[in-house]
Amino acid sequence: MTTPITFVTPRYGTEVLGGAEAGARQLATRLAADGRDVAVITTRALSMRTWADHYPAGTTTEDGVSVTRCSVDGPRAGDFGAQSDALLPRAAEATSAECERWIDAQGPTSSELVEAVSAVADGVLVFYPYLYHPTVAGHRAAQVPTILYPAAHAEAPLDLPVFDEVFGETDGIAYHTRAEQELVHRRFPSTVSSVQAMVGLPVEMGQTPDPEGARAALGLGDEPFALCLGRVDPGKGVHDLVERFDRHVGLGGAGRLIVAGAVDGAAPSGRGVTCIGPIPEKHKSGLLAAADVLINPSFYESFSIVILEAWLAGTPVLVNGWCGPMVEHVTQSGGGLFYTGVADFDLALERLLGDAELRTRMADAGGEYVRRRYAWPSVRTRFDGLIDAVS
Amino acid sequence: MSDPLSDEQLPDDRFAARIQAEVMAAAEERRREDPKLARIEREIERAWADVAPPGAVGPTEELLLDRVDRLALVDVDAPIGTKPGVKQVKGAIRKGIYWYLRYMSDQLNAFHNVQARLLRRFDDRLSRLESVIGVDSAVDDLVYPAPTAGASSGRRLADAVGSGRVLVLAAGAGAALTELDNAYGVERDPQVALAGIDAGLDLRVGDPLEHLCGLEAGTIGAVLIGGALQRVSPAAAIALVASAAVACGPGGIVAVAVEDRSRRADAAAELLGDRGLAPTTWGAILGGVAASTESVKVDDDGLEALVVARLS
Repeated sequence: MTTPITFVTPRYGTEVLGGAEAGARQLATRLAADGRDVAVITTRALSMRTWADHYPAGTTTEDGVSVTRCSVDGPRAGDFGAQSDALLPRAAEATSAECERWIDAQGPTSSELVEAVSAVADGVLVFYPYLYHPTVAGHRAAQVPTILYPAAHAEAPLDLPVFDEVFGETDGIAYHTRAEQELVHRRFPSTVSSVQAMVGLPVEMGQTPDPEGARAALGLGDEPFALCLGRVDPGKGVHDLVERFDRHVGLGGAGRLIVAGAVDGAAPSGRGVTCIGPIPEKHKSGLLAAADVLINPSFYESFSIVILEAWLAGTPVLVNGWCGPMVEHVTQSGGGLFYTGVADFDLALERLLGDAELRTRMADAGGEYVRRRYAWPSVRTRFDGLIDAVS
Repeated sequence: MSDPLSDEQLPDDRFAARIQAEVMAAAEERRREDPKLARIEREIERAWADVAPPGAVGPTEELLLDRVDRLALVDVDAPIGTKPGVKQVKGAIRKGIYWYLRYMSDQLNAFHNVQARLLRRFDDRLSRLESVIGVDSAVDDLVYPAPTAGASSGRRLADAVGSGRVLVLAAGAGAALTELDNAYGVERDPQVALAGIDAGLDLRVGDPLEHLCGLEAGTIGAVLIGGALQRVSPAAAIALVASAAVACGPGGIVAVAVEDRSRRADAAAELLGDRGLAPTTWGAILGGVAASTESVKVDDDGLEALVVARLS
């Protein structure tokens, strides 16, 4: 008999945007498709800004996964931003009370969810990601072994002492990349001796990419372009990328940049840059295939599914060199280049846009890397090994 | 030693590393030609330091000091422009807050200012201290680059190494790699490394120490330490050898290509002082982790000997 697995995540659903939540859903649905007993305990929230109840309460079955959605106790605290500004610059010195107040203010707090977690009497609880209230409170309430998928990156909240408890008490840790593992080991030295594995996430191309269809549907014409795909948010480095691209074009650089994704705040603008907003899911793979290069300017990634999807769609990548996990993917696969400064950004972009043979070779190398490491059978083997080790 | 591999023969990761190194070398060239570009890059690094968590910006202390300077100012001009309310009332609130808190904020700002200046003084003094004891390698890099392990060192090491993989730290253009079958090098300067990369050597651009510390224990057969790394202080040398020993594990080899200090030109000798250690000193340090050590003569430019230690 296989071990029942219950994922605990702040939000869950096909409409939910966010790498960690999408990762949890992918894992859950793939495991369920293999006939495993998989459940999810989550909140009814869709928006991470408000945590307002969106989905109906109760338990439903979605793609073979039993999903229990709990009401939140209240919206995200109105002064959460101010609390963060005051606390995070000195995160490592925060007191327990300050940490608890910050975690509560960030949310989503749900006493129903915590009760549901404590009622799980069989199998393993998998918490995903480390940052939110359900993981902190859920670990305290858990009655069965736990696994933490931290999805950690170099960000100030990681320094909060409250997370020493989470990382110290979990029974097993699943990492997305070696870079994430190194970061966690540096921050929480005691985790070196924890049960852990570099599991990653399953990344597969669901449909055959249709680049012409995506170009036509999104009005992109026939010209080549570089693509930035994901939430359009200064925290994701998109505004920084637009500034770099504007400067690149201003100095006579070729090409245009298409920025696609839900826009948070004002859309960035610059020479050679077109912001097309969110795109239908059905055109995602086509858009990735149509691009000459995918650029991911984010500082904060623990995995970056989008660059792996770009490789599967046959497109090389250019990534922010300050982000360890993305540099790890790129250097281990040979599927693209990275930049940290202005000069190397311009040069790397020129190199990729100007050399079709190079693009093909890098995209092929990236695709091979994804199929070798992140095809479902490989991920499942590593995940099962971790489940066996803690249960 | 086999012939260098062409682009087509190279594994994909090494091919991409070669392209990356070419990009980095060309970028470095642009920076050296255009000081304005270097300033813009510095601004971007500052912006990153502002949003990065402590420690994530790496060894860019100057950026963090800038951040301290900016954060030291407590502003009592309340940002209430976006809050709801009648304009006149908001203006009155703003003035009220300013009047009420100004007295305290002036004291806090004065205190923070003194703290920030004190930090800068400490940083200056620490830099001078590092310079005196030889931790800072800026003089070496700018005025007198350290000699790197060459073909002769590579041949000598090849005699001692079995089938394990060899890592050459501060490898320069990779001359030592040409004599080693299963080896790769790490070099900090992309322009120096490029010649070796273009010749098909497995030479990576990056921080040699960071690379060494990132290796899992016992995953390398031998580590060859050369270039600026053999000019470090005795304390740093002990730590360096210990890290190399961990990467190699029992039975591995740690070797140091030691500079011939007597062959330094007058200016270099004066600037560098007695920086660097003699082969016998390296032998003593290596003896702390090794079952046996041996010092052999090499013919590489600027080198006196290769000290080879087999780990216990």
